Amino acid sequence: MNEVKEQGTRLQFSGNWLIDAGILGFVNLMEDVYGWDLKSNEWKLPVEDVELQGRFFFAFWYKIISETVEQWLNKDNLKKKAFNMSVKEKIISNVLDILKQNKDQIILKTDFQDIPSVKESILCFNKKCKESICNEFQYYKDALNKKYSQNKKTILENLNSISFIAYSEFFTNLSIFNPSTNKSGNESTILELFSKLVCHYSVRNGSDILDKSMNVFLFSADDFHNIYFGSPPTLKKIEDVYRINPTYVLLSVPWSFIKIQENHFFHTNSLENSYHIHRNLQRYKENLQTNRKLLDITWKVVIDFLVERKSDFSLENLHIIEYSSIDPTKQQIQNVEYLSISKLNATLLLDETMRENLNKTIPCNENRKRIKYVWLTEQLCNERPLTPLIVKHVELFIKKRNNNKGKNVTSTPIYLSLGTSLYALMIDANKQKLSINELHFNHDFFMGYSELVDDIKKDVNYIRYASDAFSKCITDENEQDLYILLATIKGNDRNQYLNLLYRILVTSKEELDRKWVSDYAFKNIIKNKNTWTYYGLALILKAIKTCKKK
Amino acid sequence: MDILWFSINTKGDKNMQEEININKVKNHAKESYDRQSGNYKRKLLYNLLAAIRNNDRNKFLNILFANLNAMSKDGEQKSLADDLMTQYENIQGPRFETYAYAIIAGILASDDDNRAPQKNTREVDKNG
Repeated sequence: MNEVKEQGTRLQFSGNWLIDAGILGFVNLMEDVYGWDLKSNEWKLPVEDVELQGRFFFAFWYKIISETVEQWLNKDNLKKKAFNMSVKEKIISNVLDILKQNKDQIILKTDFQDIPSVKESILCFNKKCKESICNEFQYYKDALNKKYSQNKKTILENLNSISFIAYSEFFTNLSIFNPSTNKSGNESTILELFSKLVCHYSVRNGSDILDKSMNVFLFSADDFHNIYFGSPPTLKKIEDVYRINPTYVLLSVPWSFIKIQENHFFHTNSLENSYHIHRNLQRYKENLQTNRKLLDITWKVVIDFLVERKSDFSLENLHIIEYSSIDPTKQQIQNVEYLSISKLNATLLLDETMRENLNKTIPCNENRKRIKYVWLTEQLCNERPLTPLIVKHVELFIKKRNNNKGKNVTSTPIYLSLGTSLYALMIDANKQKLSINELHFNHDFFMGYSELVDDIKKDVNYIRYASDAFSKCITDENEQDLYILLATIKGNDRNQYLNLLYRILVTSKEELDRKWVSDYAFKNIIKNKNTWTYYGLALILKAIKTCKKK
Repeated sequence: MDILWFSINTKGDKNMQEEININKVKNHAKESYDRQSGNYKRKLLYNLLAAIRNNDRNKFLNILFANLNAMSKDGEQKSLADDLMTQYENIQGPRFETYAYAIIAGILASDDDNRAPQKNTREVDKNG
């Protein structure tokens, strides 16, 4: 039994994303504070190891306090008169420097096996933080903005009224972070409560229930809808199942997310993969300033890493947990999405050409003169069809071009991304072909859809020739016909589409080109009742793009 | 389980058979109109397209048969007529559209008369 317990305490992913998010967060936390490497030996986690407990104690509070300090310093603390970018930067860098020095000293001094001394260190660190902030802002006392406690207090007044500089959106439901508890002079009580939480799993008045107060992703205990079938889980049960201290894990969840426009956690089947993805993204994030570019490279980073490790299996099991923010007033998490990549999409994304073409944002909609961009990879992972987006993209392109021509107004023209559109259309077409007359668990499913990617590429190459030929058949007089063709595709009217297409071809003088197009139409539109719209649209894209240049 | 497989297979066979038929019709249409003048075919195509546009099956077949009849009765024209005869029952409703456009595609794919002699000379050269 002991052996099993020892083995079980080695850090590894459990398969439950919430627990795994916590494990990754815990690793990140310990690495940030103590510089532990993932491969080092400290990661054997006996549940009742006192030293680890002490280290977690300090790391957690250090992280929360330093994050809160940074957050507060970045607020508009100073009124406009005294406000100066250089002043603000100077204050921030001064305070953060002091914090870092203090941290290193405290870690050297503290004996982590002795919990009271750890508590002492936390208090000492908090005190140092308060002092350094007070010192920096004392000079600007009269020019301070009231930004705290619902805009009633300045930063200095607020510092006097609280005990810990600790605020976390993630744990607003936890009693220790409640404003009524976090009052000045309450320091030791708060640490006592925290100690009970970590050691005795006492979340609320001695109960060890696992609900919203421990993690915002969960319901509160009253809202558990399946109460008749099973009561909400408790921390003790989690310990029994996963054989780790659940509070370490659950309190570390926030540090597994990385903010790229929204907060993302990339859950794979192994801790190592998730950890390295997180690291790589973090590194890119520090180097790249614009968020937009980061969004583009995210998939490159994730998929390149997984391909490098030859873990196709991981990509199929990649889940992305995403939320935009946490509403502090309602204490509610906002816009949570759970994305997963199906086997089919994983096959597509693992191919480099396919990924290059899909990993793009295309302009699709216009709302109040602002163009809305859509990221195709995300749509694909969300199992949404790409074709409607391509239709919108083409329509927007035509609209913008016509606007520019008629009024001579130079609103920003948009670029019709031909390659991306063709790939998107063919992916949809080939996916739909798979579903016709086929069972779900067919031969392709078990072979990992080996032919699908080749089929898509073949289609795209064929279409490139055909659409090239078609654009040569189009004259300036035919331009209007292109828009009618587009309308027939939207209306799913195959007869009208083919009729108009052949009328254009019959009038065309390019004999070789029209034979190409006719051949293409015969194979992909006439004989293909189910997915003709994709091929029909793909055929006319190039002509739409080039018709005004002639 | 046997019944299930059976039903899938027959469905596949049916589709396959239909595809073969369509290809056949297209190829025969191409062969029938090879070496006809471009303008002549263009006029015919306009008329046929107008008939398909209105989903007028009778008019379409009427024009096509009249045209085939007017041409010299080679083997190729006969084979297209034969096809249409055998498929007459099939070419109805939604299927009519498919067959009709297959014929159009076939006619469009045929060589014009100004090209045909060149082909022949090449063949003669090779033989020679």
